[in-house]
Amino acid sequence: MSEKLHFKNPNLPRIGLNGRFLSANRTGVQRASYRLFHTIIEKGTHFNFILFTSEQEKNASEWKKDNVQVITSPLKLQRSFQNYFWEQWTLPRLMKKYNCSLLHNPANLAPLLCGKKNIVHIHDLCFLIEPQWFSFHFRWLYKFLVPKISQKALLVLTNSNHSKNDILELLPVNIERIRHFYWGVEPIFHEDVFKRPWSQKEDRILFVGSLEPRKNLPNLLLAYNKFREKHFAKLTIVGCHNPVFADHSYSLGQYKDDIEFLGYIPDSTLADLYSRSKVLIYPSFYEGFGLPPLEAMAVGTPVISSHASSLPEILDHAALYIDPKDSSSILDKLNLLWTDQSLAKDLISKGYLRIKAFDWNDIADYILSLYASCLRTL
Amino acid sequence: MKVMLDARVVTQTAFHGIARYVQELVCHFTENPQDIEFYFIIHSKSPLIQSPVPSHIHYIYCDTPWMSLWSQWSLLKIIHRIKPDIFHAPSFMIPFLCPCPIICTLHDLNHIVLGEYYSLFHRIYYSLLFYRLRKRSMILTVSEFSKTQLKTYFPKQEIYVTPNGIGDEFSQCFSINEINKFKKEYELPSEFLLTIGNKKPYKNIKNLIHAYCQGDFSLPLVLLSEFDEEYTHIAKKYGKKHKLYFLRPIPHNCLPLLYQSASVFIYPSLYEGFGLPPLEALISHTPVVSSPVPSLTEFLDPTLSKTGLFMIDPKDIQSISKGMISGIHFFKNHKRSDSMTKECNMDYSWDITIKKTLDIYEKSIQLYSPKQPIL
Repeated sequence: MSEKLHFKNPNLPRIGLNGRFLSANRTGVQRASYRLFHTIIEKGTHFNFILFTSEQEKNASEWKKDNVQVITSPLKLQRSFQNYFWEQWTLPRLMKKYNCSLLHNPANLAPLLCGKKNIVHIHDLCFLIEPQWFSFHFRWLYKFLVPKISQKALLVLTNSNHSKNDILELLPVNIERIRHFYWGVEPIFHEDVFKRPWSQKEDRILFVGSLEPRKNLPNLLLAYNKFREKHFAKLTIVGCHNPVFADHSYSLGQYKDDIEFLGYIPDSTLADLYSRSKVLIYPSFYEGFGLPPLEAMAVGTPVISSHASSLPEILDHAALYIDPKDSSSILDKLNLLWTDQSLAKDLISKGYLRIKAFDWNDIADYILSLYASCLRTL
Repeated sequence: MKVMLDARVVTQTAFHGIARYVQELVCHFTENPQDIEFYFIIHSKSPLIQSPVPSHIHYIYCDTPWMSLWSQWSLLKIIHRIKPDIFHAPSFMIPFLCPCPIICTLHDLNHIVLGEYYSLFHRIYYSLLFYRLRKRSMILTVSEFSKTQLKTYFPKQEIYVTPNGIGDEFSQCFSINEINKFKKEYELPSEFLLTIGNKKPYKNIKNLIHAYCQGDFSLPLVLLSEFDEEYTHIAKKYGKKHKLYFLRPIPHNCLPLLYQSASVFIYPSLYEGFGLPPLEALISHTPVVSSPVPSLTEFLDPTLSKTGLFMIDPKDIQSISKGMISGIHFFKNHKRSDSMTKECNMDYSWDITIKKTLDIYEKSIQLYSPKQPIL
């Protein structure tokens, strides 16, 4: 028997939303997933949504809509094992109790027991391609769970054609069950307050991303130290360590006083920081999508990105590309951008054009149409 | 007259030429009643099933695995139950002990000509098949090219050519809205190069990917093909893995839309009995870069100007690359309607195929009258 729920229109099909990610730090995946849920709930008035999440979301006003119910559970930040247990064991029971037809899982994992009801996002397959970048327990858990989940899932969603090809190569997923679509950026980055002309930007190089091996910080620091010999620029690093990633070491070099680590900062501060920086540098070895370069483009900051994995697909002609393995190519492009103002302005205008392809409303429409087609086949 | 047609090759996901051929035969026979009773052998989930079933059509469900011994047995049981006058095998699969005359459509000889790509089992199967087809059988094929090749294996028999056709839907023009909706549904890029194939080596997709990666093409390459790791590995070596788009199987009626969404269609096949796709693409007003397959060399009027058609040597990566550059150049400088098909009113209708096939049914009845002793 399903418990009484207070939907305005109780006869609409019920979609479960897996909100485990809401109890984790808001980095790339979590931010995008949060915005995704928010937009589909707003646009999906022809569905009822049940958000399964931790207690702190219970009173959050953003989930108070006619077509949403929040079912809370004792999920705690930093208690990852408990959260996995909740997802694998408690969530399927809740799904049954509330009689949901589909379960949308935005963060790589899904309850195995929900089997064919799962719509699961797989953001990238880094843990299979470069397992040494992750901590021991994280990579074995993912290596065990993700193939099993994807094999059974109704649909596997991913964020770039490159990741789709990776999934086809490495996971037991039939091509008919994979869809790919691009994320968008948070609306705050589009605000005009943060649009600053080139002349008012500070001599600052910005790096945004968790401090983990794949983000390629050591090569950036090498290049920065060489660059600093000729030009003056600060290097600002936004992002924290995360226990799921393997430890790695890097040396800051002789200009360490000009390097600042800001840790985790809210979006409004980040947007301001983008707008004050002359360049965002994104030298990752591997990305499933790459949100920071797009955020920089939305704000109007030139991007230097590595030519690896999905980044050239996402950024197209709107970024300068480097070889992530080669710190001298990072240096070359930094020098080029610093000396050539017209190039910077060209990149900014190309960035504004490019960012138009990433629109949350389109994404929400697309996801809602996927729900509809899934419900037809069930 | 009772004709039995083995249509099991048509499945939800099959988009190869043989499935198309069978589908067209079945649809035409279903829609245009003859004084023939048709027995279609199909899978229980076949997309061919129509309801209500017309009175001259009978569906016989058979789910045994394709080409298995078990399938031989179950076909034989069906034949003994129905006692058809003719068994039409459109896809290389025949019941060897079939007592009635067999009409077999041999689409190509790639199993023999390109024997090295096939297993011992396949080779034994095809020698048995050819042995059986020399008695109480009629052989159909789809092009003069295949006919000459077949002649060496069946010197004493008449071989009939029933070319494949092109449906009217390919020449219709779609609106930009329809095309955009289609692209969105199948997650296609806004402009792209298209190829169709499968994993089999003679489709030569690997050489195409090499040519594509070596050239500096800004348009992505969309493959309507089975996924193969080797394809992405090649592209990865050149750092272009993100530019290969694998398309999930599309329903047959979306094929014209797909051709029209593409900027250039590329068909680098090494061997084809007919080669439907490049002809379909041409009729859809899409520039075509293709190896010289029979559909283009035999069935296109040679006096026509070949605008929008670029022939390549599929074995030579440079030649594929050059062809693609010319194709893209043509696409950029011409309107869709400029392509060659505007000036030639080719008649590639499936009706001709059907008419010829029906004639052959008649002939075989005369030739192998039922009074003849059964094998």
